[in-house]
Amino acid sequence: MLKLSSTFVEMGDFSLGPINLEIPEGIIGIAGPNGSGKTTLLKTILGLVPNSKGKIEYSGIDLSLLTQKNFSSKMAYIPQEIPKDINFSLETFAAMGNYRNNRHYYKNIEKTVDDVLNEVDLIDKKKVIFSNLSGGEKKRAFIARALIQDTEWILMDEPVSFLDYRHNIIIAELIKKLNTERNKSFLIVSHQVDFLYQIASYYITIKKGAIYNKGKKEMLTEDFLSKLFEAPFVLNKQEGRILVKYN
Amino acid sequence: MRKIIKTILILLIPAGIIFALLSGSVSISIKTLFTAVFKTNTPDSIDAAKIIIQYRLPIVILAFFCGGVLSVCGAALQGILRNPLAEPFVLGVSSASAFGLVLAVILGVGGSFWIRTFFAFAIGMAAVSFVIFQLGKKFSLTGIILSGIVISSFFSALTMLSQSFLSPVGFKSSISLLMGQFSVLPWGELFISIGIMGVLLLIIILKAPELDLLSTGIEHAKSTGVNTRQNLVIILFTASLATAITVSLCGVIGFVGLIAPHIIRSLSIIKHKHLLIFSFLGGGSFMVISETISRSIASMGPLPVGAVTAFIGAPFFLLIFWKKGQNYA
Repeated sequence: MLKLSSTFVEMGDFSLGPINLEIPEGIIGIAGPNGSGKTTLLKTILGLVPNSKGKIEYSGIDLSLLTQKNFSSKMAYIPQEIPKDINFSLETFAAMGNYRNNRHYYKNIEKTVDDVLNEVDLIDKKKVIFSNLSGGEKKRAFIARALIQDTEWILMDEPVSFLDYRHNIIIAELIKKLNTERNKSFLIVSHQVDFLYQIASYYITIKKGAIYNKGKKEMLTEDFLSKLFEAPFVLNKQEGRILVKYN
Repeated sequence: MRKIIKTILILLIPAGIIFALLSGSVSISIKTLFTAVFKTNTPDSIDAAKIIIQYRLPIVILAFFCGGVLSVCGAALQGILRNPLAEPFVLGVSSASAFGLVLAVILGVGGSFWIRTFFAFAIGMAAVSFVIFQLGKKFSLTGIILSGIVISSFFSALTMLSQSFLSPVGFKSSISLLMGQFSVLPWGELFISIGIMGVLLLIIILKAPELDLLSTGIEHAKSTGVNTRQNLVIILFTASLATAITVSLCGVIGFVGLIAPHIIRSLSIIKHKHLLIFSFLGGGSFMVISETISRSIASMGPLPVGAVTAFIGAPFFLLIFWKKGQNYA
């Protein structure tokens, strides 16, 4: 479990928190409109925001007391924006997840890399240069790196925002599979609540830098989502789908 | 194909060195070189051996190390700053060290190797410490590059200002110091210089795995377990130290640190462990060849080596850029 106590971040005009929050294991969705502070929250948990205040605990351990190596054994990060100029081969890139175990990350890891690339269905591309992969493949490459990093938690920022429908489904299936088969927990930031609705078991909603509400799937009613996003939502419970209504 | 190019690159090193030893105001034939090495009793070969050992060999070794150091620093900085245009001089160390050289000339102590080196080195490091100090306060890559540009412009202005106070003779000697020249160092001083450069190079090369991860982005490196701040400070500081030493030894020679790593990357050598080693060999050979051309081409004395590296480097760089596209950058 992740526990945030009085977490507070100030960045110019924008401030996030103070947030007191307990995040259970599972597939957890963080939803909210643009600019609400979702990414800032995720990066604060990852220790990537300087000058953040408050305490963040991982199973009772204060994360700020950990060395970077220990920290990276607890959670892996898959960012929204993927740099386009990474010229390592896919297998080398994925192997970088092994750095926390061995500085010479590429040593004695070939088999694990192959297994993981099989798991994310990229084994045929292992010699391909990272920047030549498609958007969906790059996301899966990051998931492969996170799997080699072998953490309990994987934190993802907008995992499908640049992807087409087919890749939405591929990523969603992969996340569900890793949760059930490998017992991985995911904390997923997304403004695409229809995507989160397909996979997440618990939801944290944010608006204007503060927690708006949190709870299970039942919390997401048409009325709730319409107020949160200030846009009309249609919920089809039978098909398990959320749609945004365009007037 | 890549293997062939790598082999050519490796063969270029001894070829360049032999070419450098044979060329100059007195040209020596390969035959004389061999008799000088194996039989030292003919008058011709005694002269040749003297020229080579006392004059050309120290310069070739120095040029090779300076070129190698500059390209290793360039490769490392391009990696951590994630900017293909980065070169060893981007942090402002060269301008500051260059000002140190001119200051030594103005104060009339420019003739002594150690004093000149001390001036270049001390002022270069003071400037870089300022840039790296920014890391401690508020960390940003753009911030580092911008502070480097400001420092660079400030010291360039100081250099020009100081040069205007020099006598014509002092001015000329400051120009050749600044634009790049290799002078013959006694063997003792040469060994100390390359020894220090060797240690700094080793520190950077040992950081190759961290450089790999840092080159994918600071946040990525951090979230995969790299102590980013500590490693950035070590790499930036070591690279600046090494660059300041090359400036004090041979002035400001541009282009080597920029293009040698690019050429190596264009051969799909991406992992820093290999990139740094091949950049060292490539940059060293490039510098040796440029230095040889600089003293062979002009009859009234050597040309500035910095001009030669840019002259050969620029078209060569454009050629690979056109051929390969911008993907490898």
